[in-house]
Amino acid sequence: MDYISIITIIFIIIIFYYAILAAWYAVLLIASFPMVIRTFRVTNFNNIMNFINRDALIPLTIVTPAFNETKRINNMIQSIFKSSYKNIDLIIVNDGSTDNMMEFLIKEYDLVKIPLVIKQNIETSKILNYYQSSQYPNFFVIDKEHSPYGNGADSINAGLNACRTPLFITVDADTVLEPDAISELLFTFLSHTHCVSVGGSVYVINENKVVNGVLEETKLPKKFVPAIQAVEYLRSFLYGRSGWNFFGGAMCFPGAFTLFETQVLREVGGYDKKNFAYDAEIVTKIHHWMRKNKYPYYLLHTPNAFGWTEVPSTLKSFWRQRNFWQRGMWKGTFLHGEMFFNLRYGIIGLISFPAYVLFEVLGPIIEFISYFIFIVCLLLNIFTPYYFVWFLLLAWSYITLLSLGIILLNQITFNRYNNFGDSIRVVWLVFRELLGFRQFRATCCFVATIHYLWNRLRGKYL
Amino acid sequence: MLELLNKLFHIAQIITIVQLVLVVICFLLIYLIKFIMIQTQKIKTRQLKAVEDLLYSNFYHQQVFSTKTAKKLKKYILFVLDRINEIEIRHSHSNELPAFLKHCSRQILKSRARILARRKRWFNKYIAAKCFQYGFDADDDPVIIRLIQDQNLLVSMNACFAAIKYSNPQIINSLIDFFYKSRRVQQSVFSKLIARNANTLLPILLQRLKVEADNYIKIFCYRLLCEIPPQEVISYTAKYDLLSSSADLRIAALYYVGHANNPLKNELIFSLACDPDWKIRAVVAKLLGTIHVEKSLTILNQLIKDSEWWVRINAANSLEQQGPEGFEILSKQDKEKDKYAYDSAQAVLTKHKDK
Repeated sequence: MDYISIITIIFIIIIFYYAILAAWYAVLLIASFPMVIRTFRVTNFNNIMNFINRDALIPLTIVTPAFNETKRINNMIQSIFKSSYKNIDLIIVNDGSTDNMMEFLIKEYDLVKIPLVIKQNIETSKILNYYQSSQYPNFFVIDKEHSPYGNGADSINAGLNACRTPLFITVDADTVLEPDAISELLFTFLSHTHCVSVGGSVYVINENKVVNGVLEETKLPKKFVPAIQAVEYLRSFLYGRSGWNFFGGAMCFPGAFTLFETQVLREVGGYDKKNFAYDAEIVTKIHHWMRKNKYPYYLLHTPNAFGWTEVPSTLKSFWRQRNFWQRGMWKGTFLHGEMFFNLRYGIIGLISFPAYVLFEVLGPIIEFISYFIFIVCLLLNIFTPYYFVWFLLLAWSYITLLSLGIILLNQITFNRYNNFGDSIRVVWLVFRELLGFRQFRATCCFVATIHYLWNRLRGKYL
Repeated sequence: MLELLNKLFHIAQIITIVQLVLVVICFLLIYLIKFIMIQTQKIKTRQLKAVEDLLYSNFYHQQVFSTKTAKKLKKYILFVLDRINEIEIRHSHSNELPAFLKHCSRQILKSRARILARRKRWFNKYIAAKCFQYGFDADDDPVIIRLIQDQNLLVSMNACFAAIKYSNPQIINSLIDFFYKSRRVQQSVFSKLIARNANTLLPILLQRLKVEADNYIKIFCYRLLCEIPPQEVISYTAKYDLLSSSADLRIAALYYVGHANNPLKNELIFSLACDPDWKIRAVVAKLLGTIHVEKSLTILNQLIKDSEWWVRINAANSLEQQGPEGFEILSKQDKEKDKYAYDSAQAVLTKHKDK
């Protein structure tokens, strides 16, 4: 068999992979429609939200890991205080910040040290002090030593040790929540039997005005890098994760805004403090643990609880973020590899986890390889630029169709991007994405995979 | 191979063209749907306005609903519930309100609730529970109990509201039977609901404690009693349960006794300070922080030297709550005599110093 045949075979395999991937995304989109519309109709009945907010019967704790977040943390805190759900304890965990974040918080919220003794159910870096606000008695700050692993998992575990409520929400320090976001999250939790976790929807806040924790506008960012991520997040949260609900729940919820039942988090041992993608891994861990122990459970995504978070605005910071995520996702995949096509784990083992590994984790790698193969095919005249343009058009039209499906879903339901121009801009962004940005992202993930494998060969964790 | 590739390319071309056409259709569909939604919303708003006018008209004129009107209102049950709630809030002191609510319950809500309670979808059962909050008959007790025992928390919570509002011993005891073995989060919700109707529910809870043999149910009842504002009376059952063989029951009874507003509780708590079970001693150490008498200080001074960490740290925290005398005892702990007591004292003193 000559090398041209080999390359052609690889190319055909890649085409079939993309055909299956396209079918999977189409299934997710179709599966998400009834779920999102039903949620919209039910929650439009204001009585439910009034009932949840008025009585606020279930106390919950919000934990936010923070490292050098002086500029952004105040908006997050204010958005939580302005939430329509009031029965909340807020714990900020200062992960050894080197800027003036602690001084800022102490001054702004009249923090005083409290002689709190908390059992360290999960081992964390040393806790230096506990503080409580004199102004807001439900607001606490844990000051701890910086985690040597450089991520927020250790801080969240410290917050988990301090949590006294049956429910636990993680929110990032740069995330602003809408006033009803927590109530909507709770609604999904309460309206499903055996629900142990609910993931919120996270959209992009870059270039949107926030005043004292209140988001004044919701527009797509003007800059290209955050704008393309806004479209990606819209795709991922409005239809992607909603569609996953049909298949037993997504493998990954945003660390920026997710609710857990505290007991479940403690029983699985908390977050993996060495993993950058700790927020993705914890959900997979819960799936693994619950299925292994044959407990009935639901892990659901709710399309109508909105948190707005900052995303990298430069290519360099985007590369760094995706590098960490990809390595973290690989680590999570190998830790829970037992579930892969394992009948014992039900629909998660047979469909959801394999789809996650093959499409979400491996997807960018195959995408990178396909670009490489394309170039080789062009150079070897296996096909002409005419072929290349058609395949590019095929990819673009499919992604545009998906994106328009999402805009339609957004329009008939929660309508967060309601600007007329944004619909047209999404189509333009999808086109531009194909001319360099997707290739950049695929390269980043490919390099991250090599980086991960090389580190593992050297005996490192990630 | 190349032939296969060519075939794939032709298929790709066809799919691309179809997709491009669908893109255009989708674009037009978005704006068409937006237009239809606006028109539908206008029609719906008019219909709901008519329903709202019917309700307010009945409220102001105190009329019974005609069969036709009742049928129409049942069709918009969600909206009707919303509006009734709004009328309740706005006209809470109105003399017409009780009669209006009675009419609504009798003619619209009860009959609709009975039908919806039999449906499978949780949302229908939720609406049924909301309807029953405005009243139900004795015949509806089994339906209410079934809704309370529903695994969906929203349905269960709302049914609880209805049950507690029109409480009778049978229903409350059914609630206890169901919730004592349910998830912690369900128990938290139920105990909060109980606390709101403390006066009517207290006798039922105390009676249940008298006759109940199951320790777990008793533990749950004590937990509920701790949610109710402190009472002067301490159930005599608690005095026996403090000596039970079940540690969990003893702890629950101890917390209940500690919660009571009765000076006799002090002796009961003091008597358990030397209990062989460290968990009991830990709870005693914790409760002594709220009893500001000389004997508390004496006992805490002993408990801070206990062999168990939790007992020591609770004692240290309780000494802190005792004020200057407590601090004096903490400061006097000697590292040479008892390192562990000293460490526990320091854990509290060091943090308090900075405060």
